Amino acid sequence: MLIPVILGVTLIIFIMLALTPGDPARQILGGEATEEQVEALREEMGLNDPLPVRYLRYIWDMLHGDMGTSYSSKQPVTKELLERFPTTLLLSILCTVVGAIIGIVFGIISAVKQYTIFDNVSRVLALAGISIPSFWLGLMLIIAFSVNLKWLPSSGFYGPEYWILPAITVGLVQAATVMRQTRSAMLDVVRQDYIRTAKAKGQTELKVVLGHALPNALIPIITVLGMQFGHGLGGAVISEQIFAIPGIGKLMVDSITARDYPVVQGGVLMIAISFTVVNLLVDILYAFIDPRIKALYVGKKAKRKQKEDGKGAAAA
Amino acid sequence: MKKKVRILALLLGTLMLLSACAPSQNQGGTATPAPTGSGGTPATAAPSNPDKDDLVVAVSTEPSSLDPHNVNMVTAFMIGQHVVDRLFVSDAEYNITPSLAETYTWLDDTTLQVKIREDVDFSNGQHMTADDVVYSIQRACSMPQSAATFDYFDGPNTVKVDEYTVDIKLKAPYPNAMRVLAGGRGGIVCKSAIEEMGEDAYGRAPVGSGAFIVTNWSSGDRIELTRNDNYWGEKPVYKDLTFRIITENASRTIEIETGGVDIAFDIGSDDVERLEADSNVNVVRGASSTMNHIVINSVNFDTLKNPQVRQAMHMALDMDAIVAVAFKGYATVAESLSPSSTTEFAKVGPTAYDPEGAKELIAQSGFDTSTPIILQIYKNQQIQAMAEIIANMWSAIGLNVQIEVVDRATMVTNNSSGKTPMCITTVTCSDGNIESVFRQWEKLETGFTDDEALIAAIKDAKGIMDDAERKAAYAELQQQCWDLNTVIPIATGENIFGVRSYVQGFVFHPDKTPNLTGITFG
Repeated sequence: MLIPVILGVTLIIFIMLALTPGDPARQILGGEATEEQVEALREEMGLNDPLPVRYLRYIWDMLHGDMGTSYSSKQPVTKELLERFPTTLLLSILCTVVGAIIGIVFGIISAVKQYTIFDNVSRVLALAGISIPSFWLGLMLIIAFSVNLKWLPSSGFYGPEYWILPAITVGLVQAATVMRQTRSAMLDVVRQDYIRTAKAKGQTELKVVLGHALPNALIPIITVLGMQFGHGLGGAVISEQIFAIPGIGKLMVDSITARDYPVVQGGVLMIAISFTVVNLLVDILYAFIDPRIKALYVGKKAKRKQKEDGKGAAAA
Repeated sequence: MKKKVRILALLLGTLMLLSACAPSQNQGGTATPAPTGSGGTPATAAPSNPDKDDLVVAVSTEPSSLDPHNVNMVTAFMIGQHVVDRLFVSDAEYNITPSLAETYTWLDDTTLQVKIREDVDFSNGQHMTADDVVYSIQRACSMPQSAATFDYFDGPNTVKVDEYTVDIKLKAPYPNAMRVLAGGRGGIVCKSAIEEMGEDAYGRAPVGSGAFIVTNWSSGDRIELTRNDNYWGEKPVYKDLTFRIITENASRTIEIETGGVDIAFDIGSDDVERLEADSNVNVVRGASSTMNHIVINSVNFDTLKNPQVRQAMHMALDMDAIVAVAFKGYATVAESLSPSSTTEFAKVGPTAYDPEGAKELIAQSGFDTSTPIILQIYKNQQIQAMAEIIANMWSAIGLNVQIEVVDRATMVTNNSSGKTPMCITTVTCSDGNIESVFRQWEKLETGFTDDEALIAAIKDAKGIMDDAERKAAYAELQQQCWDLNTVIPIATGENIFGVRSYVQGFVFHPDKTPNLTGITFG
């Protein structure tokens, strides 16, 4: 699955960049350079070759572990991306954790206390969370906690105290979606007969909710969290910009502006791979959460084994 | 219990909201001393910090390289000057003084003999000799990103006379030669280091003879420099110099407000008043060397060929209003094609705002006002604001203006190949050199003019050695080009810096390239 995805992504991004106006050579040399100088650089960069030749060369180099060299920084693209990826990964994990904690807790309480004031306030906050632009929220948090209260640094990503504001900014927006999804999934589950039975048997509400309802509502919640984590790996562009975080998103935006094709291609590829891997992990996680899915795989495996054993016995 | 929790949550929420809306604690309401355009940082009674051993500077863009010959960015020249020294240096008024050059003599109009200092080592321990100077000049002449600036330099014939003497040859008499050598691309690089490291690696950690050494470049985040203890000149009082890359205007302002950085470049005009009210920050601002202008391709586009129409377009613009709105007042209305900081500047404008006169001219010209006029701009808040106002003013005289927003790369490409009918762009006259303005006029593709006599006069002016004669020639050219209206200069914006009050010795530079070596902390 990964190989067709990668080939498809590289082909699409290659064609899109080729169709985008703006000459990388002219961008590097600036308006004052002569046409001859620009043409020489284009030739040196291989931009005068036909698109199929460039594409095949790129794929060939990629198969040899070479994603090219950045037109701007003259650094290997792999190095550029790997320098930024840990920051993006950490930011994405932190945001997802914040989003999951707030979203799941509020979602559960909202579902259990449906139509109470808590539920109504939570739903309004969730709507606000989805609607509020993250740059505005980020700036408000900076003004509150950095400028006025002086509790936290306003930008950079150099240690735990620097992680708090960006994680909250993106996490709160994510929490809104997670909360809505959790509430909806939990509402479906809490109306089931087995929940009523559990309550009738005298189990505490906490045990019923956490022990019986939540595990059965986790599949859609995990799906949403997986999607958000995958998106996060593509870079939280706005938050990276506001908090001056050197992540993948900012690199991609800068590279698109500078027509730095190798970095854009490499970045898109990395995001596609990350997303595919996250989807795979989410699929695997399903099996751990839902015994029915696990049983499906185990069942298939058992049937195959039975079939093989049967064939072996027949042959004997 | 539940009630208490709700009340507590409500209180917390209110506290957060109030805290976000409350004025900053460090805004004491004390007016900042009058900022200056050319002077140093004014002294204040704000907290001192004499034991500080590092300087943190927030810049808005990340340079692609610090190799002086292989880069095209002001930020790179600003940072690079601390690492790679030059033969000459120029101050904020563009006065040129020797740096690595000990003495110099013009042997004739095309030969500058330079005797370099004998006590200079590069940061890798290599001794600097005439070979490095010859190599640097030849390299600058051949590298695509510096070749246009070194156009008049004759690289192949630049020769070493002895271990510390070089004859720098020019292709033709060129009075600005020393200015080029003192500029951003004039760095003297270490020949052996480039040969060993390769050009790309050298760009990330250049070996020079400057006051600092690059120790770390964390892509997208920061460039760290540390003091070169073998520096031949006066060593900085602080040890570490860090440039943090913070692209967002608001974030840079907040960092200077909160003390996260000591100096912030490119303060947005929206934030100036707030910073000026902060007793811990001094705002240092002054006219930049960048001109914002409308360029009109009158050669390739028939609709823009009529001089009366172009004149009417110029007359229809209320430049004061544009400066007040698009620049929030932090700019000066253009009085010539170049900023007033250029040494050959001559006041030839502004053109009087006369919308009625403009309408009459349009009527006289017989121009079909339904013809769409495309004004191309790139995505930039200030330029977009300018475009909206300009389009509105032109619509008021009956023209049919359409704004087309493209990204910068597209515009640079289109402009260079003559595909843009009209656009708003900028030109920077670094080192006080007016040539940047006229370089575009020499290219037919830009469509400023196809008058061969004018182009020849522009080329000739560059070679006039007598100062007064050159100034007179450029004055005439500025008038002539202004009257053509193929370039409509709008305004020179300001360079605005935020400087923490304990930082002393910060000197404004119109090119946005202040040298930070002399900074002290009070």
